[in-house]
Amino acid sequence: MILLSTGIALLLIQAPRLDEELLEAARKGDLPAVQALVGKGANIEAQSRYGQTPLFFAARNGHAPVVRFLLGKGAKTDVKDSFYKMSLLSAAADRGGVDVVAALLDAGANGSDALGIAVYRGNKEIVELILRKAKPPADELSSALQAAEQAKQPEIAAMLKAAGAKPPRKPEAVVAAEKLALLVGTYKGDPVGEFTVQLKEGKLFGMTQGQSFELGAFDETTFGLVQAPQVTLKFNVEGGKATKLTLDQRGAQFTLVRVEEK
Amino acid sequence: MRHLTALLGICLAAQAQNWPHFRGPMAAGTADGTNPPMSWDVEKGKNVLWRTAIPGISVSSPVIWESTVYAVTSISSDSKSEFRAGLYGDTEPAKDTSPHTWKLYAVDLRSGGIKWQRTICEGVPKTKRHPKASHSSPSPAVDAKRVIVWFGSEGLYAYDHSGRQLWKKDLGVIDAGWFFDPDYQWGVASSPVLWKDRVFLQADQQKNSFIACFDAASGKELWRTGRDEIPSWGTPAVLEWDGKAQLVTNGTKAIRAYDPMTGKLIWSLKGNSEITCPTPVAGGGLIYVAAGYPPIQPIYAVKWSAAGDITLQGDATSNEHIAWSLKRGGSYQPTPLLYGGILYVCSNSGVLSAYDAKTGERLYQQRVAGKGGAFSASPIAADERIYLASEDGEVHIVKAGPKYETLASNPVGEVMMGTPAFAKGMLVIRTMKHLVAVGEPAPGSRPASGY
Repeated sequence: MILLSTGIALLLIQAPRLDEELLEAARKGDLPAVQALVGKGANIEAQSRYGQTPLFFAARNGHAPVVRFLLGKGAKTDVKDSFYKMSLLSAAADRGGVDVVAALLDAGANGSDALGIAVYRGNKEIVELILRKAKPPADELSSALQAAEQAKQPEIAAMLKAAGAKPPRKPEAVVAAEKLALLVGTYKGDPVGEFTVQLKEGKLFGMTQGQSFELGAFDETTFGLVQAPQVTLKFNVEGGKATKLTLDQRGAQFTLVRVEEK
Repeated sequence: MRHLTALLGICLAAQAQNWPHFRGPMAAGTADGTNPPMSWDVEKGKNVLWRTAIPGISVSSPVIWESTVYAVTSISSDSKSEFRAGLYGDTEPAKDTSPHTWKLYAVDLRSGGIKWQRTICEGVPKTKRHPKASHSSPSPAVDAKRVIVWFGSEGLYAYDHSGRQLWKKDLGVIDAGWFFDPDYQWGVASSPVLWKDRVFLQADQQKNSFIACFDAASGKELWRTGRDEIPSWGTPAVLEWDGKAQLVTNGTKAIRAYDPMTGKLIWSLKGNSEITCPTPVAGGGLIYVAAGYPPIQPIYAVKWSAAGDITLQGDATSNEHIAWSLKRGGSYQPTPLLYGGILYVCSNSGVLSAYDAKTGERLYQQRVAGKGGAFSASPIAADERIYLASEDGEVHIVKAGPKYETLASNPVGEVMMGTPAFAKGMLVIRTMKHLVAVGEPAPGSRPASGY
């Protein structure tokens, strides 16, 4: 009985250690160590403090043999880290290399931010892979096209257009001044902080962190930053006045509530 | 190496104001009565007292004891060793793994002449560094008897004022880097602090973080307290109030204060950025600690009487130990400045915010000089003027007070990463390639000679 409980206790102590070693081995691309640790019972879905799994580490660091081994063992591909909220596929598109991205796509991995990351890195091979295997939706293609044009990547832009990417609509709608005036005010919310909307010479401006941005209209309540229209602001108007706005930055949304003037 | 010499009308008294470690006494960054200059142009030689070349790469800050400026550097044998200033988010370490030489310089405060220089150590750095960092990022610490320098994995050293080595210690590899991936080594930056013949070091790293105290005369370790911490880069501060002292440290898992004589924990506060760089500062019975990286960028004003776990609960912004706090507004690298009852916080992108130090009410938020820029150096203040040194090569001067006003923007012509130091009538600036002293010569003095 004593021996049994001691053994169980030992197992309980060893398990986290094995998991930690597996995370490290995967990060370093040490395939023999990864295989040995999995064989000893290390959890292939073990997580770091930030939600990274062995597959996430191996994919991000471009260790294709380890990636293939872990995928063969059924490692999950729908992983996002808890800090940067980066998908496993986008981590691979960032630094993992073509072989890793191909292996993940073949295993069914997807991540809406991966195409944008590949465009940012100017990696034509990975862009081509994602377009061919993942068939991103229209809005992702549109955002990626805009990013490619802004980054002066004409070859990638051409690839995206060939895949059906349409230029994103520009915030150029004309909105009456009295409608714009309803949106003026100060809005607050984490993590943005304070965002002040002002009307100057018929144009709407947003101000935060000491910096001012011109806002262009898609319609009466949806606006985009003129210099970066992929960043959109959707105002909620109730009873003739704006009550809150939702800021959307590449899919990340933040809600700010309007603060009444004292 | 040619340096500027000038016949000056400035009288530098033997009892000059000292700037003994990073950001001066108690890391406060203030020096009223020194009357630093309002305008200069280093490239044109206007109001430049001297300029002394320092080789290598260093993001450390100069320190001053009486008539000597001390500076450290690390020199790579690879002449193309990478350093990148500016605002960017790359995490990959610099690729230079060639042999380096670490040096300490003692420079004459009046003339800029090199009194002596010492090669402290040589070899291949034991860890990598961030491309925006150096292998000699910690600033020296100095008192009447010695200069202390720390180069992380390369060791801790003490020299007397004539350049004689007093002692050295190998504290092992200090592995500080990205919390997200421990293979991304960034190097250390926390500077040693001298107080009452004791040296304090904060070594937050991937494993086995600690804070330690050494006897300044012998290097003997007096105490060491382990810290449950991930890498951080802030310098600790020995803060004094009402006859008592606390050794206060910034950190991700907790902000902590210790008894500097024993290393015993006094209070701890959870809720901080995942990367912490600013140093705590104090005044008016409050201790201010800030940080500026996700997930929150807090500013805390902790009461001197704090004790135990003082962590705020729920959405509270104050409690019996914390006078006020904000979840947003903290700075990533520059340490906040407490001056004239106002807490000034400068972001990495050059947005200067001013808060009522007692209540946390924000008084203003403005881009420095209307344009911001890239800022790693911490703001400092003297005689109602705040000095902000940018990586872009300008020192901006802002009027102290509840309303923002730019007084001047003075070109230096080089990247500035370290925080300048005040001396009587002077500002001593560490640029990437030089130590520069600027000041307005007294009427009738001969102008400085050319470079």
